[in-house]
Amino acid sequence: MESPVKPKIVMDASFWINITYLDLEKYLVKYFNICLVTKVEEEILNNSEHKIYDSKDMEKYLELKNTEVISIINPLNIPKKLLDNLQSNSGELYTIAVGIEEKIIICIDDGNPYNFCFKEGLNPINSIDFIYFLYLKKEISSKQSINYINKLHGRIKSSYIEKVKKSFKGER
Amino acid sequence: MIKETEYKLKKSKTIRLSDSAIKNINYMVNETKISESELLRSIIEKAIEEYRLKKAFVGIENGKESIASGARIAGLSYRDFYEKMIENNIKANFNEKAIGVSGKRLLSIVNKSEAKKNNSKMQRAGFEPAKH
Repeated sequence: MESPVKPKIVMDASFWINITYLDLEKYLVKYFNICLVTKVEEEILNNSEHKIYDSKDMEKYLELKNTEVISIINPLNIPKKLLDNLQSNSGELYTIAVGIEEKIIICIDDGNPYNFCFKEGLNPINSIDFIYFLYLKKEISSKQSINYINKLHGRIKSSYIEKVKKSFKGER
Repeated sequence: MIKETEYKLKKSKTIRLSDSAIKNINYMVNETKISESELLRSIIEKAIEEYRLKKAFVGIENGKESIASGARIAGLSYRDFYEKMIENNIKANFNEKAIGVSGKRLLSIVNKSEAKKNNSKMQRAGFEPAKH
């Protein structure tokens, strides 16, 4: 009998950029099978005329893709509700569509689509939720958690960050 | 940045300017040694870029736009726009009701998956799976 596989996640570009910025991708690899859609791959690799060099997260992405730790998956259908509420032909649209189709965890660090998922009961994960998970899983201490969260101050609203910090006191 | 001026330009617009604006333009032409039309084009293009970027930032801050839609408004790639957001201290705005909920759910999914894995290891070793 084969041993069950790790839970699958599908992530958007902002989540990947923030998680690698925090150097937490090793935990993503440890606990999850990582998928993303082709559009998100394009957003991560950013082959625009302005790209001068590959950033750290691009290099990390290519390394994990080449070793088949990260795989590409695309949705077969896009639900009308997503088309009505999200940006057309975007990473967020296809990521959420895959999450619904495959019934897998959606990881997204973009406020508007994250809030849409939450409202629709899709239980999205942002980088702060992931830090909280690592804390609950005892991979990191509360002090480390706070340090990681503080690094996100320039990317996530301060009022949200301050409320989150309170959840790291005691509960585990 | 998607350069909309990379195609052949060639529509003209006539505008009236104040004496001081003309003085400033002449001063800048002398300073920069670029042609007056090139200078004016670059000033206008920069103002358009700034306008689009500002509009996209407002949309992100009030939660109406996503990074992808903001990038489209600003005329930038997703990545370039996200970097501009960080540079300009434009932050993602998450629903505070979600705090703690998803992290706990993630823990429960992972724990269930690990329990299944342990049970199947036990079965392979000839033990019965644990009953909950």
